[in-house]
Amino acid sequence: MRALIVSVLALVEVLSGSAARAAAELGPEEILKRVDEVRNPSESYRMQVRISDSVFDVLLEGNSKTLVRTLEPARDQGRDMLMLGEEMWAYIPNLKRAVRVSLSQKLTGQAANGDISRMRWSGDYSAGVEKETADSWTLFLTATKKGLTYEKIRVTVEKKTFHPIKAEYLTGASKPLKRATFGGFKRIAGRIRPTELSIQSAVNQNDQSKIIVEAMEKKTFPSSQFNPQRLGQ
Amino acid sequence: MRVPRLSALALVFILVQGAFSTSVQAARPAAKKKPQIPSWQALKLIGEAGFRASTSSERGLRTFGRGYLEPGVTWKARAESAFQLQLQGRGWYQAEEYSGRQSERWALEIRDSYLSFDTDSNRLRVGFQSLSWGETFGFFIADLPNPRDLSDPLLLEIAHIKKPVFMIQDQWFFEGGSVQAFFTPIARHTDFSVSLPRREFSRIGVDSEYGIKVNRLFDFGMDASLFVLRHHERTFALQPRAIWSGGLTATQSFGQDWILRTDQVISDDWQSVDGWRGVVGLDWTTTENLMLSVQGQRDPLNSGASLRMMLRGFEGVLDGWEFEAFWFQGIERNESWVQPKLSYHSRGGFSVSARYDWIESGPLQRGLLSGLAREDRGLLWLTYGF
Repeated sequence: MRALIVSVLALVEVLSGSAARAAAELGPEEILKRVDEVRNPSESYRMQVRISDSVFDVLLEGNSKTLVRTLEPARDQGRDMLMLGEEMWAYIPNLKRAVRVSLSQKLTGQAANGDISRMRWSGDYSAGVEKETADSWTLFLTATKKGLTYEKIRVTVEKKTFHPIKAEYLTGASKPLKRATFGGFKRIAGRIRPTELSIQSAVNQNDQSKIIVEAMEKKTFPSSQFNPQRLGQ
Repeated sequence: MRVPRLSALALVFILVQGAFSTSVQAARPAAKKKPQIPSWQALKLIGEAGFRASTSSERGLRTFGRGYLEPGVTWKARAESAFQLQLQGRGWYQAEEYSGRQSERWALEIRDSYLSFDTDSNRLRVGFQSLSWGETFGFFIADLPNPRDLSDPLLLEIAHIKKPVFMIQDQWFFEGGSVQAFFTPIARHTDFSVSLPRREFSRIGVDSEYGIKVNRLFDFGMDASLFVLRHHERTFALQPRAIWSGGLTATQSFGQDWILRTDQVISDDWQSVDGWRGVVGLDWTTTENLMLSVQGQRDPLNSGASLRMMLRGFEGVLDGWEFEAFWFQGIERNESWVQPKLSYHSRGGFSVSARYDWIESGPLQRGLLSGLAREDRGLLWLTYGF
């Protein structure tokens, strides 16, 4: 029995050591992909998100297709939003039509459309390791395409789990716009993921919003689901 | 103003609304502890009440109160069912006083009510429907498949004046686009404020309307549609002619803040400039939800320009408040239309909106705003959706 325990402990040490070595060998782009895997269960999925008193049903496919249905408050029900890359449409129930709108429009509070529509950083940003400690990396992300909500992001990642811990959203001139912390880590859609994102304005600390992921499931959607002409169904 | 009748109307509204609320509560399943992603909405009922007051410097004072209910039900047998039934109606009652005379009006109307069959790439709908084809605001020149109810010149909201017609409509969706076709077996007239004898439509084929629209979202961001349809002239003519119209609607974004819109329609006489109507508009939006829009309009009755401004509050800043302002200025005829509107929408579904209209149609009174002369209006809505 004692020999068995010793063997198991030795195996654990070897495995954890190899994991740490493997992590140390990872480049920033690979780390970013691992972080995205923590935040996104699959290429295509669905989640229910609460921001203050507003609840959204969010359908995501890849990094460029997002359909946001407003469940609460009652006044905004039916005002579905579709984001395809840098393009955005909003369904106006009174007009019974999808209206092309600017991506600049604010979702609610400090939360921008991009905070729930572009959940993957990899592919949108190039990454570099700005700082490394025994437990974490600080990555500096720079947008590789135009039209993204944030041009630069500084994100801290826990080495052991690839969990994002905090982020700082910056302008093109590296001026802080917002600060965010990731929390509420729990098992959802098959693994431990952050379910809370607290966003605070860098200018006015009283301006803050909390994005809470209430439910998440892997799901595939027909391509017509993300067609502007189908909004409002 | 018949105050007692309006009070009774309000009481009826409250009772009906209460009954609907109760039925919704009863139908709602017990709350689950774990949040679930909903796949469909079982029942939606809408109640609305409103009143308006209007004055006209040339025609004398006109005051009235109006109450209306818009019940609607969307039903699916199962969450994943391809079939969906939607029923929507509207009933309204109006008491009016004009030049010392009192009158009443009421109506029951079928609104969008249809059976829908949806698959991943196709949607077939049969029943009373409204189609929206335009991309611009204000005059909705490309929304030709539906007639309008213009019998009350004070009712201008497109959601109120567009008349659903019985049609068969099919829409096929593909990656980055769609094709939509409709067939209206028997057309309906547009209702005008003056009562004129007209030929009623009755013959399938001769009195039918049909058309097709092809939409494509291009990789460079342009969302464009081409359409052609056979429809009846929506004019005062005693014998409305069946004509062909064709057009283009398109939008293009520039960066995160700018959107260009256009609707272009050519009707009937393809060679004549009188058959061409077009609107081109440019929107600018800020991250604080302020939108400014400028539009230029070409119309055989009166070309003009319009400005539109919209400011929508968000959590923490003017939460629930919405301000809109619209100004149209005619170029060939000196027509003006200024329309500010302020709304507050509570989180519970209650809304209050106030609008002021200042309309000057010019000495000829033959332009886009003809028949309205000089008018000032104050309108107030109280709305409750649940």
